[in-house]
Amino acid sequence: MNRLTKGLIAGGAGLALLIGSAGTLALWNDAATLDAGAVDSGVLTVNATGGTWDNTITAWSPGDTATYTADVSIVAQGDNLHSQLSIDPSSITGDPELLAALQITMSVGTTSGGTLTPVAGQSNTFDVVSATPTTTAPITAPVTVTVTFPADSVTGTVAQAQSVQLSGLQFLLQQTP
Amino acid sequence: MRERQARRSLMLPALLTASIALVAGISVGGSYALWNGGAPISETEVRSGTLTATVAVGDTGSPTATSAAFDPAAFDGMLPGEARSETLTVGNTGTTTFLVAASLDATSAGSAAVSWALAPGSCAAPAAAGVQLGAAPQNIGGPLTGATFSSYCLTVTLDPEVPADAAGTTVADFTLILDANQYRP
Repeated sequence: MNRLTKGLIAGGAGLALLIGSAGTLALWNDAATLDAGAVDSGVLTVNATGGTWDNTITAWSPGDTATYTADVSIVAQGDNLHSQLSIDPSSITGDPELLAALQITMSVGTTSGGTLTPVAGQSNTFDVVSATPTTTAPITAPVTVTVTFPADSVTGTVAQAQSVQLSGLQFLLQQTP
Repeated sequence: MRERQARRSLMLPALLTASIALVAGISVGGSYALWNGGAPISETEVRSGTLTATVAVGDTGSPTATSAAFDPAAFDGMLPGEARSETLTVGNTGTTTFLVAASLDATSAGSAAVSWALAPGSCAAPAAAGVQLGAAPQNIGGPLTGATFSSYCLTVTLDPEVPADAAGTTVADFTLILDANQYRP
């Protein structure tokens, strides 16, 4: 046995002695059970179905508009859960002039199971409030995203033959403090 | 040998600590704290069209020219009261429908000796009466859709009362300005 092995054995013996002296079952002791129930977490989800664009424009020109409408279903279960539904136009990418010219807005139709209320000062953002926050009953509404190439957004030949990808755009449901 | 091993054993915990810190940094740096979810929006692309106009003298359009010159003889040697016409053709080589608006350069627009009128259609078969031209652009004819050409007839008239001392001189050196403005019904 070399010197290193001996050192390890000595260390182990020392550890055993410590456990013996630090035990909690010495002398009398008692315990009582506290039945605090379960902690159940809530749910925050969003789904969009049936989404379609109202028209397909091959070559956009100033004044053109297209809308995307989908049935959005939100589950916001939580006694103290606050959340917001939004879209994030900054997620789209493309040629700068056309990107700067396009306007993207979101609007909400008749809502059931709760409310979706526009947030003042924050475009394309809606406060989500469930009518029954302790259940998973969904909040449903038709939500429309409108993409507009405003007629007065460009002059001359600005933003011609350019493209913008909307592939990064999504309905975003975010818990808020 | 043992010293090298000892050095290695000291380095290992240091490397491990650095890796954990990096992972923790990524977690903390996420942009969506608290709960969040997303639902995709059907992918699409916005591709803008083009508005490009060309011009040529005569009945045949040009695929690329944005300026053209009349034959110097076209309006040479005119007599008082005489009117001469020349056909020009505008092309819409883009994808966007436009209206043609015509005007004159400022100097010519103020001329009392000469007047200009532009009508849709070739001079052989004008489609409408000519529009008297001035410094302010005026729409001529109907909308011109993408990938089409349309002819116009320019009529230049020398005033019957032009002074006699104007004989043999250049009465006007004019530029016809054509604007192609996007048309939306």
